[in-house]
Amino acid sequence: MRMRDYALRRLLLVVVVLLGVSIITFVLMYAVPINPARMLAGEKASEETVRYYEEYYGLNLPVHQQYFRYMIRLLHGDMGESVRTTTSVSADLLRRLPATLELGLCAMMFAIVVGIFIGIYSATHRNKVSDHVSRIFALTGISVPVFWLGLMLILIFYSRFGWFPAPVGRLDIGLTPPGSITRLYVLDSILTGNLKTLGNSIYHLILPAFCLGWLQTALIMRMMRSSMLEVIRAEYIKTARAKGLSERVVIYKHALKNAMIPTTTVIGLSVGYMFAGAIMTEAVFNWNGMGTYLINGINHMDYPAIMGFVLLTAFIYALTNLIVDLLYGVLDPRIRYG
Amino acid sequence: MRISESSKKEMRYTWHLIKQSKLTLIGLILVLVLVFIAIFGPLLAPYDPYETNYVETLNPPGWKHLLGTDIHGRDVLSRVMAGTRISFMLGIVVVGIALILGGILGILAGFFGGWRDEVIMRIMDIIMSFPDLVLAMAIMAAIRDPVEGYSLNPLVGCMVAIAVVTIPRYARLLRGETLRVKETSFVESARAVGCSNMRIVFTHILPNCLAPVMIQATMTLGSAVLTAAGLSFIGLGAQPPTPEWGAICVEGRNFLPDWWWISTFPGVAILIYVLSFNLLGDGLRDILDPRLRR
Repeated sequence: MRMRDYALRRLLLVVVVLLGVSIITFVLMYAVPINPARMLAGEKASEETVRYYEEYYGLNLPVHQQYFRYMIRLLHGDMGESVRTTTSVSADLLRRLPATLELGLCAMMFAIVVGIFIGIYSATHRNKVSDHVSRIFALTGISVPVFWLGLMLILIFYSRFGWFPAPVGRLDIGLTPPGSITRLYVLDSILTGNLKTLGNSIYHLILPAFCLGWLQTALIMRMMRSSMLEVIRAEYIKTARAKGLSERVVIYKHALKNAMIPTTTVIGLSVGYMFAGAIMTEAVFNWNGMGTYLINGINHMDYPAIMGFVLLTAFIYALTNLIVDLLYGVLDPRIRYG
Repeated sequence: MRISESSKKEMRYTWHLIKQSKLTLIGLILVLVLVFIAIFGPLLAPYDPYETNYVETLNPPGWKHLLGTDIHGRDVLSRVMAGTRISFMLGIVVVGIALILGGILGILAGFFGGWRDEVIMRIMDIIMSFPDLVLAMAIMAAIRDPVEGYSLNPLVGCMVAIAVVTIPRYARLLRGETLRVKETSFVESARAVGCSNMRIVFTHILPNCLAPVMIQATMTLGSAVLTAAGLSFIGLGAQPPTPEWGAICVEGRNFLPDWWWISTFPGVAILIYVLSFNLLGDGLRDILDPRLRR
């Protein structure tokens, strides 16, 4: 298979998957609940209001027509109106995306750097004490409930020691956000040269980013370790050593290239965990992002908001997987020709 | 069941390998302790997990209440112990449903191939394109009536929701194993002597899938509890006063930081529980995978 055919097949697959995702969300949103119109109108609404909503959303139409309308609206980026804020769900989500993105990117950077480094170290020091310690660090990371970890981090590092700020969100109360160029506070602070918000926003990011990133660090580290262990047994590594290359060059130049291939997949997959983890991390740290929006939606029975979040998450996740798979094809020729 | 000499030898060898790997052994012992608590917990627990006692509310950990008491004077240790049984039930039901449905779908896909394979696996792809917690959450939100709440026990809802999101893992696993075993010469000769498809699946394909299924099941037992706790935290899982670990954590959240023990200990329980299964699963993978043996 040529690279072009591979990419084409993979793209077609994404279309199928996204179509399926939209059907599942449609079913969960409109078909399963007992009376969606009543839900949209609110608990104490009169019969007339309920009928109005039925009419307005076309809930009296046959199911396939309803799905068609839903798809048309979706393709226009319209995910309905939030029951709670009475504004467009897409606009709400988009406004909160930068907060989640900033938190997620920080966690991701931490996870990639630390995960890869510890993974290599662990593999090259197999069965030494440091290997055991890093394996336990990783196993704990995949076993700990994210929300509980957040609560404990706050309990220890804020309540007990006071080393980190109160979990009040992205900045201290009273500080105004540094402009709105990217809405990523750290980046905006740098762009506007605002040192005060720069320090403060980084200070507020550390605990939640660690809370969110530990799991990803663990996943990346475990994959890095096992693929590195496999690669250093290969013949070409023996050759590289026999040529008299230093161990550093052998590991970081020759072995790392191949060991990175499976690790790339894990990095892509962990984007999904990131969104699930962000829900809980944001709720614990009062971080005003998409996760908090979702939790508010759940507490207020705001179904359009809930399904908007689900849809957007699945969409981003599917696209990341597509990118990773394409990258995989580039990195590993065996996939294309296999 | 008669155990042949060779499989006895195999079991002895496996046991030898488990003893060799310290982390696996620790995982196994912890799992056995947890099983013991799950079975005999109600007999061992000092108090009734539901019994309120308004004389001793918010007691710190001490001799009378080893892990303290909550706002209703309930003993945290007894509640955490009661949670062990709930976690096992949850994990076992999730593995059961996911294994049976995922297994059937995976074997069908692998055995027959063609359009059946394509349809089944694309549906699995779709389910897998939601992060576990997000889809489980969406299902839990959809089955909740906005006025009356859940018509069924939310814990049962959790089990079904988590099982649904777990099905693709087993379908993929069993499809892969079926494809692998299907090509072997012993299946070919079974077919040559006129074995039916059913017979080939049950006597040749299933027994050969046992090791990877065991590893996956061990991992699922742990991860299901983690997802369930997450659902409880976002308010779409087990509801108080059910002593599910995640739900106890959430109940205690408003009492942080002063009455820290209510939230801390159930979280520790989750960590130990999931960690034990991950340790065991990791070890089993190294031991049972024939490629990694020696």
